[in-house]
Amino acid sequence: MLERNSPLSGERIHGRFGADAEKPGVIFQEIKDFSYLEIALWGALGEDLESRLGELLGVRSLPEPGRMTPLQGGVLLRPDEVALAFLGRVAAADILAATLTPEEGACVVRSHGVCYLRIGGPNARDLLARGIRLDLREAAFPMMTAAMTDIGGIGLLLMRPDAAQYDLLVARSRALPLWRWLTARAAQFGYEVRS
Amino acid sequence: MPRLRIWPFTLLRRKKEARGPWRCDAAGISPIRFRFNGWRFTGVPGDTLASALMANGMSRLGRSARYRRPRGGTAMVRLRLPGGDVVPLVPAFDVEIYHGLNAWSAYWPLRPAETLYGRLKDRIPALLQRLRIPVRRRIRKEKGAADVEYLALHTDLVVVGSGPAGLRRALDAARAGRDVIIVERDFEVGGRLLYDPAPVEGLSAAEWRRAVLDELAANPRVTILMRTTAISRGGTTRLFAVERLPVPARRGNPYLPLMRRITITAAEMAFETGDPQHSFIFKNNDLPGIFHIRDALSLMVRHAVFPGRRVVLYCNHDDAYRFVEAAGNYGLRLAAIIDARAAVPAPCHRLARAAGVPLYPHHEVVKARGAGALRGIVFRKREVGALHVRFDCDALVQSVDPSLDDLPLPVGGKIRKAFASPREERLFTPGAAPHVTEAVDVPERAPGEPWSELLPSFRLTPFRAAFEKAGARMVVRAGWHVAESFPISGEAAIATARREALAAREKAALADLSASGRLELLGPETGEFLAVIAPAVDWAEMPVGAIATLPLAAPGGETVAELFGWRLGEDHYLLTCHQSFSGKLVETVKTYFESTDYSRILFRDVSDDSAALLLAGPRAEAVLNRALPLAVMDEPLAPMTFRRFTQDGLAITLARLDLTGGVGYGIYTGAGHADFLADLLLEKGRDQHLTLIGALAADILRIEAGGLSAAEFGPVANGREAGLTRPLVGLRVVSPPSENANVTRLAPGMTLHEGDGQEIVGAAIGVITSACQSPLFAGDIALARLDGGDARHGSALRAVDPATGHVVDVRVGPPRFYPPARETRHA
Repeated sequence: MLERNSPLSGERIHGRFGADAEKPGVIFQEIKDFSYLEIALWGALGEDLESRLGELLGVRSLPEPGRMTPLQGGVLLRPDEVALAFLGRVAAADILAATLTPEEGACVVRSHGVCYLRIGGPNARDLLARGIRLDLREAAFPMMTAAMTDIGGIGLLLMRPDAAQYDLLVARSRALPLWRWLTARAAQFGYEVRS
Repeated sequence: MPRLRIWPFTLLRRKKEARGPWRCDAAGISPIRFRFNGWRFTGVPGDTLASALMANGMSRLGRSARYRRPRGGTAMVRLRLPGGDVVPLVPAFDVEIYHGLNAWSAYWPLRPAETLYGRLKDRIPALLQRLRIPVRRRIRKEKGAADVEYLALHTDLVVVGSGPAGLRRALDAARAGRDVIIVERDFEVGGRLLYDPAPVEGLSAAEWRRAVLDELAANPRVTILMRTTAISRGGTTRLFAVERLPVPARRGNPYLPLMRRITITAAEMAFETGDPQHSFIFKNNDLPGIFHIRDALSLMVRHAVFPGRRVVLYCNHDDAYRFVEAAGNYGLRLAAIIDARAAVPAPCHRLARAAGVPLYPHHEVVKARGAGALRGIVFRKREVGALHVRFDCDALVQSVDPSLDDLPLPVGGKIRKAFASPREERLFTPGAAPHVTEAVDVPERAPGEPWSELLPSFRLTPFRAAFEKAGARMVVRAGWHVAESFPISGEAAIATARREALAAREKAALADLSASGRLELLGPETGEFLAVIAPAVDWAEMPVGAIATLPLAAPGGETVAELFGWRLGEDHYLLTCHQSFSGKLVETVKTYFESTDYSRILFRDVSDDSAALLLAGPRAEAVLNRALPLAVMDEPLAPMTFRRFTQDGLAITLARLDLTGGVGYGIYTGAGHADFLADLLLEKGRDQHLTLIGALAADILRIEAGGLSAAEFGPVANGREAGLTRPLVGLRVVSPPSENANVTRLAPGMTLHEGDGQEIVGAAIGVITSACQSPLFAGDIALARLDGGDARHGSALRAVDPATGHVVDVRVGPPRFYPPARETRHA
């Protein structure tokens, strides 16, 4: 299988940039080896499907709106009432896609259409507050939370997989302007781009 | 001491200097050097620009923008930074001085000269240009060009003002475990505590302030925004504020912006900005040199600067007399005390007597004297017919208790209401404003400036990097950043387009189709749903691997786009369209979905997911044979069908599409594999002279083939409605060729009229929707909507540009120019 080219290729250069600081305030990482599935379930999650998913991927129940549920090889996301998606390893996505019968639901593989960025470091939240209007405080946006939002009009899926990091999923065609904005704003904290 | 350059100013400055010193005590403090209006000054750490200039004997720092009245500390200044950045319009009392500060009055010099300059400054360059006098253009950033950052903060409580009340409020909330943001416009926290020694909660002001700040600093839930001015608020939960970042901080970190526009969303807002400072109403009560008591105290206690050398206190309550003591502590003896009350209590008399200051009870100031700054006052006893007394002074400190009934009434002069808010509705002389003031309230209104940043709205195709590397000229078209053409050095755009279009007709060409609209639909009810949207196609009988052309009609019945419908699998379909239709496609399908009962359908705009190329031209198959042998291994691909296969790990969908009138293939792969696909085709197609073509050439091919874009459906360039009731026709120019081959004579929006070569007869009977210069037909061709349509084939018409009146003679034909012999699908 060919490796996917990044929409940021040529612009995402590894290293330390921006203000001099002992430690970088923001750490960027583009995750390239992933699979992203958008899923529609026709009705409520049937017991049969639930047990099969539980058996295969460890899913106990669907995430609540705005939350993420970890499963083997990835996470199930439910950024709002209707949207459901899987983000994780390719193999797990294949299992999920194969498990879903046409009577239960359908899924579209969107892996090529999105760019997956991970933002960490002590100033990650400060950086995001420069573009995102969501309340990102611990109480309002705790771990394993997901939300659809935007930065400067560029729609994105924001996730918080753990306390120190935020994950961004942005449409491939809009990823480069967003990357330029992120790095320009992160320069004041000093940032590092990791592979 | 300022170094002065121009003699009239020198005289003025020396005269002022002679009255000094203005600084109470600055011995042993290393000075800070800065510039103001080009002059050099020194200040001390902790000074504001206003206090430093006043310490240098300057009281007039600029003019008000609205009334052009002289202003002191409230004067707006601009800060010019190294590198050309300008921080626009900051009050002088908000500017913290630093080594190398270069500030200029925003409204300067004097009014007549400024007005004259304002009238001429835009005309002078044009005049010089007309006279052919070379002008060296000064490139610099001006107002609004400063680096602004936007920030959204959320908290439980926002406190505006960091005086004792604000700090107490913040402290209580922080102790209760709430998130708190304190907004303070000064560069030091404390407000009144910085200059008023009155004890707070049993501690001295300084001790209390230190204790509270230590506790707040140790609490991670508290954020203190200094140098931040609350501008306005939206309802009870949103506060808009501007933070000015300290310029010296940029020396250590050049990536910092100059200012931040902050939107604070808070569950609760508290405005602890202190009591409003009221003014006595008399003529010229806004002259530089007239202070409110808090500002005068701050100037003296905090900055060690005398408000003047000959200071008069004007008041109507006991508390104001503490200024007499404070001034005495700094060695300043007041020139007079004017008390508006009829009965001044005995302790006040004793205090004045002890300080050796003459007290004038039951007197009122009638007017302030001075042109640019206070030179004296005129006061009188508050009796009818009392004599007016002229009194020389250079500072008047006023303290008003507005709750008292016998406030002096305005005497003479032009009086008007200055502020309309109920809290501050008071009488003022025109242009009058407090000399130095605090924000007494934060008005509720929409902020005037943008409060969030907008990033480029266009989208980038997966081939952007590869095509830019190949020398593409990139443009934004229908929301996508696409290659317009691949010019050879020095080639005009239209010539490039002609060359590229010809390559597609004679050899082989590759164009980016990634910007086209793509909507994937799947689910057991998809076939039925599509039958509702596009009943012209028998979706149930359509074989997997087939492509159908279909018109997309809105729920109202109006055709809005032309699509290709693909059957990818049993319950799996794809709708694709020209990029100009993609918005309509998604919108229309969504409308249908919401208005029908079908629920077991998943549809997604997948235009980001795949990279698509159009391979066209007589040698296209030869290129395919070399580049994608698996595609043509079994049998040639029939028109309007597609095949999916994987070659060397590259998952490809190959479709034979009628997009250009000739042989054409759409080649699709994952967007992340775009570069592999482009490299593969370009490398293998080199022998076949495969040429990259841009959007201009692709448009020529489309028009030659009679393909439809949104222009054929909707409003065209001049805003006229093309009208689908008018049939589509093709036009060719019959006028003699123009001298300039690089000018297209037909353009979208030109109207069509009856008429011979001499005149135009009647109203417009049609409109041009798309036009180009076709290399194949060596002339201009166009698609148009025309009354009568097919019946007019062969007739001559006149195309008129409504904007310029330019007329071109055209001949009507079928809308498909290429290939000429085939029937058009629009017939």
